[in-house]
Amino acid sequence: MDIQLKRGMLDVCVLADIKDEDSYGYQIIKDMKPYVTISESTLYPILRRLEAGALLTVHSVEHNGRLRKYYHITDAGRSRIEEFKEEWKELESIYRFIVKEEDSDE
Amino acid sequence: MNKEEYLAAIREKIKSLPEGDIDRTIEYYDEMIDDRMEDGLTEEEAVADMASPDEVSMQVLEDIPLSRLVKERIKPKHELKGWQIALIIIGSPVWIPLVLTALVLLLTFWIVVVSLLIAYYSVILGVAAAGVSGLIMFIFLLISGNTAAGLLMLGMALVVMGLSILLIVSAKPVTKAMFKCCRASVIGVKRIFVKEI
Repeated sequence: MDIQLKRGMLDVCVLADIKDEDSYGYQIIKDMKPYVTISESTLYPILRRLEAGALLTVHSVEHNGRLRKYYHITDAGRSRIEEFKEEWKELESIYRFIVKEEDSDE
Repeated sequence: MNKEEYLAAIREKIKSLPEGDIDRTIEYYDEMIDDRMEDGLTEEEAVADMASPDEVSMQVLEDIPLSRLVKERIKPKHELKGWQIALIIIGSPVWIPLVLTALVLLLTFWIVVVSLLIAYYSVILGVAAAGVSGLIMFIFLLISGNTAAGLLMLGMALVVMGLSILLIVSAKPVTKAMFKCCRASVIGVKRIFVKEI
């Protein structure tokens, strides 16, 4: 898939995952696994980017004698999800156009 | 590879990056491996699931904005990479005039120092010449029979010649000091470009 397109969507995937409950890196990867497989090294820049854009905040929670970073969605993060849904409608109509043109070729 | 080795390998790859980025990256992968181990994997297995240190370092580098890298002034420890060269070229409209200005200022400084030295030697020469001509005047006045004026001239000539001797003696340390100034300025400029001398 086009990297730019996928990257933008993965950002929203991560936001959607922490929408209802704060989560941590490994859990996010596990949650997404049935739908899309991402590696730790893919997730890392996404989290950094979302944090830099204030779409989520990070806080450390003690767990089994070590610190684990939890990610918490911000209001800006929530509106980013809504934005994506709107964009998706546009993408869908583009898709329908593409499919229609294919069909008429045959 | 165990966790320690893996994290150390990543740290080694990204050691020239800003401190904060190194720590955050290490913390992140540390946590990831710990979580996997908690999930039932052995340490070796957990590490094997991770991307290679090379891949991790590339991704981290990609992720940091260029502007921040420049601000942190990372020291190039290896050959310049493509993006670094590109950056230098893109930045040239800014840094070329700045460097030129600095060079011109430095050149001006040296010219001023040399001018001061020339002026100093001229003064010495002038004072010495006044002393000598005073002596000659004294002889002429003596021959023409104007003894009083001649003695006055002799006195003045001796004073001026004494002064010129003092000036000539001081010329050496003054010249030395000025050359020291020049040298210090050259070293100062080099320090800006090469961090450790």
